Amino acid sequence: MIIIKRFLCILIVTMTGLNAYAQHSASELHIYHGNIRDLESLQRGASYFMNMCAGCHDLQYMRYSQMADAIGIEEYHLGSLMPPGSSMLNPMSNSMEDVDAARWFGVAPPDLSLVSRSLGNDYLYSFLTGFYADSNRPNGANNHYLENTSMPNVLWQYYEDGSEGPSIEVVATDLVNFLDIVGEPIQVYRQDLGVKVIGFLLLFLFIAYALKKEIWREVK
Amino acid sequence: MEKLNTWINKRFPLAKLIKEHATEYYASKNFNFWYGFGVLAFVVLALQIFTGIFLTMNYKPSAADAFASVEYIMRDVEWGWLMRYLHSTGASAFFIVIYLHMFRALMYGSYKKPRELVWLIGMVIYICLMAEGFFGYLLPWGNMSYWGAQVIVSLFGAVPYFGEGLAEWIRGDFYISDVTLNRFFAFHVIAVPIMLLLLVVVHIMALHEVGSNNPDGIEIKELKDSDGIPLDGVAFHPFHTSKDLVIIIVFLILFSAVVFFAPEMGGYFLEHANFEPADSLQTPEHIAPVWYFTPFYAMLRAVPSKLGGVLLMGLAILLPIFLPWLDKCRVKSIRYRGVTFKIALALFTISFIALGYLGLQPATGVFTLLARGFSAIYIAFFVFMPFYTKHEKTKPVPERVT
Amino acid sequence: MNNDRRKLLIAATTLYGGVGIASFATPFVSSFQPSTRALAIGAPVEVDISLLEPGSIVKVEWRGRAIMIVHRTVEMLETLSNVANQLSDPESQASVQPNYASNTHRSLKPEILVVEGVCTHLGCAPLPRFDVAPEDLGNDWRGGFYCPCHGSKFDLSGRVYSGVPAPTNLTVPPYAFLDDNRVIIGEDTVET
Repeated sequence: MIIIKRFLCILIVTMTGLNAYAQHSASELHIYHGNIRDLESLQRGASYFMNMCAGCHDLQYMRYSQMADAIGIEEYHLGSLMPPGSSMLNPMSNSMEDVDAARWFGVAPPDLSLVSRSLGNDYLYSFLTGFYADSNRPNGANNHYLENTSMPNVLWQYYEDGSEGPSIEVVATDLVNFLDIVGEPIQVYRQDLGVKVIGFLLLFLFIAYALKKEIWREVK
Repeated sequence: MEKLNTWINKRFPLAKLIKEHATEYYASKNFNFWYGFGVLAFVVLALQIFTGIFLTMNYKPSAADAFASVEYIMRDVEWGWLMRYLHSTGASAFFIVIYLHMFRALMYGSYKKPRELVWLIGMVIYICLMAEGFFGYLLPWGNMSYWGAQVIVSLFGAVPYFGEGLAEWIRGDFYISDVTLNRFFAFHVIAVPIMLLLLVVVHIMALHEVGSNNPDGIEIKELKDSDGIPLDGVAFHPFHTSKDLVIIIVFLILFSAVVFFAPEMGGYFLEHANFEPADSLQTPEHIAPVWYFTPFYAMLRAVPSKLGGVLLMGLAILLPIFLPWLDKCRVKSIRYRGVTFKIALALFTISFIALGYLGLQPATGVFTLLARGFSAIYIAFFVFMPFYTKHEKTKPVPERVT
Repeated sequence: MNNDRRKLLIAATTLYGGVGIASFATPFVSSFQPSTRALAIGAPVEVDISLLEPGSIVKVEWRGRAIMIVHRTVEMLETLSNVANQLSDPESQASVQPNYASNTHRSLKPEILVVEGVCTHLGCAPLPRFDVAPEDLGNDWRGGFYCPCHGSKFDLSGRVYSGVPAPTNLTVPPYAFLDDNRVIIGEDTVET
């Protein structure tokens, strides 16, 4: 099922280009391998996001308390993941004003609450790992998957080989993993509940089938 | 208890209704699984109305708030995500169930005399359901919702002379706007559901008047025992109810698998582009309607003329209404029908599925040619039916169900 | 026909189906609870009272209700014991307040009163009437709250007088002092 889903995602993203705010090149997407149950990865992703992305990008449909739930930390540990003075129940939209952003970058950085669901994880992963140096661009970087993107390569330090810290692949995986859970915070709960519901129904099927057999016994 | 029963029955025919529609409604004992889709359609209708009521409590039908209110339901309302997924999966399930229900009727000749009205009412229900799906699809106010509605409403612009005026009248504006959303909401939550409920009652009443068909296409009412009970019939309750319960549970298992493990169904039940808010200046690069409309959408695009495409699509939706009179063969069930009908039905089914696939693809080159070919088969299935069914070589039909 | 087996199966199916329907209904029932957004909007409110002079009142909104914060003077506090015999629940035994406010002054700090401006009769908003012995309220009036809807009277601690429609004292919401000048309303377990 996951393979089929992935395949369809790639198919749809590559064939139809659902990217509404810019065209991306037809380069083949990298397959993203993340795990929404890997809480440590989610927590690292949250931390990367708050440090490197949240300055420009909102998560307007997500609240800090919901993020805490989703990445498996206690609310009072939110500390560094929350701007000082903010309330846990506030939406995660503290980035710059859209008007300012449009002036500095040419376009307003999009809200990323649902970006994983609209563009797909493979695209996000490919985009984050797809920057390259390009002196023709104002901020010195371009992207294989979103030609002439206005987003600077904020992850540049992880691209450098031999530098300290994790590789770009690891950082991008954690970030996409985090955006995946932000897109639908209850998805782990949903799947776990699904197992119980289907288990309940299977037992019901067994009982109902026995009853049907019993009642139909008299029909020749 | 006894007293209460008498009291009620003197004033309302409760016992009579239960007798007529359950304990003494006799249906053939040889129903196969194809006969479960009727009750499943009923279950899905109930589920859609129930979950719809709860969604309405939290949804805001305004261009400014609609998209955010759906995310509010998904994230802030307790269990809102479950209601939304039940409803969105239910929409697709409704069409799956109805298409299979209709296919069953085609296979076993359930549209034939004396069930012409059952079929006709069923077709009206189907058209209402398409309207319901179309109106409902705009409500999340995602970009695909928006442009899907834009495209479908523009179809009315194909009408000569007053087409543009008609499209404007439907939208209530010069583009799909807050006004349009508001009225589509009214249609989706009040007008069409009331129609649907009423029609379903009429559909079932008509069916129970003439009696259910069966996989052998035999009228079980023609052979009765000394008590006047059809020899091949068993009472709806408890026999068919106990069987239907099993069918419903199997359905619920499959349904839950989608709701809990793949609510987007790879972008077919919830489209990726619909997770971006409506934007009247930015069309998604590739617009495809939800899967249940794609066969007709493919036909629309197959004709290189706006009016022609609309007419072909309209024809494709309306032609099945005339089935009871197009089919000249007196044998009902495919089990005893001639090879010509079997081939025709197979070709029709393949065309319908293929058109469904093509409607999701870009309308280019070979895809358009294929869509034309399959559209021709679809139309031919109905138009030539009087000829290829008239002298069909049928097999003898048994007296009793097998 | 095996009747016992059939009865057992019917009972089992009915029971199991009933459990199923109840479990299905539960999420829908609980969706009526205040949503996360409602909780966010109804989050505790912080109020700065450094400018609240003795004898004056400030109203803030919390969860759609007016919360009245009164800085009582020494004279006002003195009236509390004088009117006790005219009250219907002077010890606040039948009324709603946190434990730390079930005293005569019904507050954490004697001079600062925090009460909901919602009459316990039918939910009207009582008016602060701190004037002593005005014409309309009579010579016995020592200051307090007066509900214009049905004439309920409360003293300066929000305690209800006898012989008026309101059954209990004005409700005290949970609150705490963040420091000398800042009150948080809606929460009383904050770390200060």
